[in-house]
Amino acid sequence: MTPFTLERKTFLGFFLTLCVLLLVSALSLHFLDRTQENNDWVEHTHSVIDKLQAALDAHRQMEIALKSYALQQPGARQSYGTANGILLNLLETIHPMTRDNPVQQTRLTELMAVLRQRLYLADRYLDSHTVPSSNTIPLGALIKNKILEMQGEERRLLDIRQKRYARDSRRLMVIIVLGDLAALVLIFIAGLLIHQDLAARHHAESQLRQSEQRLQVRTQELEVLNNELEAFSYSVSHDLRAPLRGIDGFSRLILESYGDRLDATGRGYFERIRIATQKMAQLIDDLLNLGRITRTTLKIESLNLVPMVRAIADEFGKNDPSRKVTWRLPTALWVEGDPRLLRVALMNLLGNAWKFTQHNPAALIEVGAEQDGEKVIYFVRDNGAGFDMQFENKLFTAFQRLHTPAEFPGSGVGLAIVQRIINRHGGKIWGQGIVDQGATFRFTLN
Amino acid sequence: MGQVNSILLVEDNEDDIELTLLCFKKNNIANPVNVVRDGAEALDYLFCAGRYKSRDPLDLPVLVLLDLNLPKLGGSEVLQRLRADPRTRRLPIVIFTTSDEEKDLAQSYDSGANSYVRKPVALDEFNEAIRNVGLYWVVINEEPPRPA
Repeated sequence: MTPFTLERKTFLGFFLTLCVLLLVSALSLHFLDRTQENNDWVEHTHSVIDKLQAALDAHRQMEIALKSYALQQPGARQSYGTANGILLNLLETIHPMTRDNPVQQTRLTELMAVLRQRLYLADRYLDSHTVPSSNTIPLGALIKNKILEMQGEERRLLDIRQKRYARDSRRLMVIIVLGDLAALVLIFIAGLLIHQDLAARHHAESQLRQSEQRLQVRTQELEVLNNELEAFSYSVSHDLRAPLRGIDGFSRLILESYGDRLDATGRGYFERIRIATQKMAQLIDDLLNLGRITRTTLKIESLNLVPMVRAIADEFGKNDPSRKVTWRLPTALWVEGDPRLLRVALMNLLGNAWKFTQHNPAALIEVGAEQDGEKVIYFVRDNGAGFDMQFENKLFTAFQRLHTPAEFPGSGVGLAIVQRIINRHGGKIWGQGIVDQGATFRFTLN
Repeated sequence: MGQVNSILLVEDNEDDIELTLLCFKKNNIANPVNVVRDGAEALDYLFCAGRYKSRDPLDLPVLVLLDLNLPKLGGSEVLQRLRADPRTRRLPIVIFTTSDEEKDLAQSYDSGANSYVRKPVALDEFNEAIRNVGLYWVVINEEPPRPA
């Protein structure tokens, strides 16, 4: 799977988009500001050019007025004054407007100097009515040229500023368009990733549903199997046992009613039939009990095994009062388990200990627990017949016996039952034995 | 007037029928034993239907020995039908079966069986069971009042 979760992808996607949009906004503002500034400059330059044009016009008016004065036209002197005022006024206005440009300032200063000279000469002429000297003409042209020069410079600046304005406007457009496009692409990518993630999630969910369905089918199959097993064991308990009663019953009846017509061998055979029948009945019962252990539901509770062991020991003692057995038990042995099943397990373990110590006049049966790290190991120990460790693997197999029925009776199902009970508690059981010295069975629970 | 203090044996296994009858005789339980071989026949007998139409409905056995595993109608269903009917609600019924499955025991008692006896395999024990059941239900036990 990807290292990024859906949440992180979503967050990252939208965070990046937000960053891009913020950047676009900042750049747009910046360029908008610059465009505004450029625009201001362009307008400023336009107005300087206009003022210079007006100054040129005023200068021409002034020159015309002077010429008219020379031709003695009426009002010429007044016109000269007006134009003169306008021109000076304009140049005064232009002066602060070109403060940013030292070249223009120098030109303006030069212009002013020439103009002042021109005005001085004109004033003298007007006062003294002397004909203007020939050098007045070049002064007028000089003024005009200076103004035109300044205008040219401003036009050049206008061109530069207009180009800058256009360039920055374009940049603004480009930034807005590209930035928005980038944001769109990012949103698209984030959406795509989220979509993929969701698709993967949907896929996983559908797979989960499928495996749940498979599990359900499996469970149903197991239920059917379990039901069949139950029906089978029911049938075994009922139908397989019933004929045995007939075999035993009628064998017995033959012995009772017709025994005198048989010889000892014949009667012996019928006894054998009866013994075999009893044995088979016992086997069926054991088999059923074994099956029941697996089928019962566990009811786990906290319980003390010692009173249970004592009760079983008392029962054994009552059934066989001739036996002298020493029981070594702790004061208490608390476990978590199913009381009914654990009683069955103890019954079998203690029953074995009781049975296999029958030839030992100083029989000792010990029950206890040992701590092994985190785990508690319970044990049942006896000093009876023991067993050969090379047959250890056969201990817990149903119907496997390590002794002949003549030595010790039994069907060989007891330890198989014990193992199933311990396994159902999530524990393990193992045995240790030395022939003629005894056996120890250890088990864990949970 | 029908038989007095008869016993009804509901059993399909001929061997078991033979052995049961024999044990009754051995133990000097002289009450007449009527045998029916499946659940449906048991109901016909007790409710005087079908083959037993002519029987007196008031003539109820003193004890019913009921097997569980029966053809047609199972023992537990027979028990439920008998308990559902006012005529046979108080009838002493002893389940007499090979099974010792917990669910059979629970179901039988839940359905109103008076007793549950597992048929032993060995004849001596079987005989002992019959003797005890016969003695208790026929001799010691007081019969329930007959339905009105």
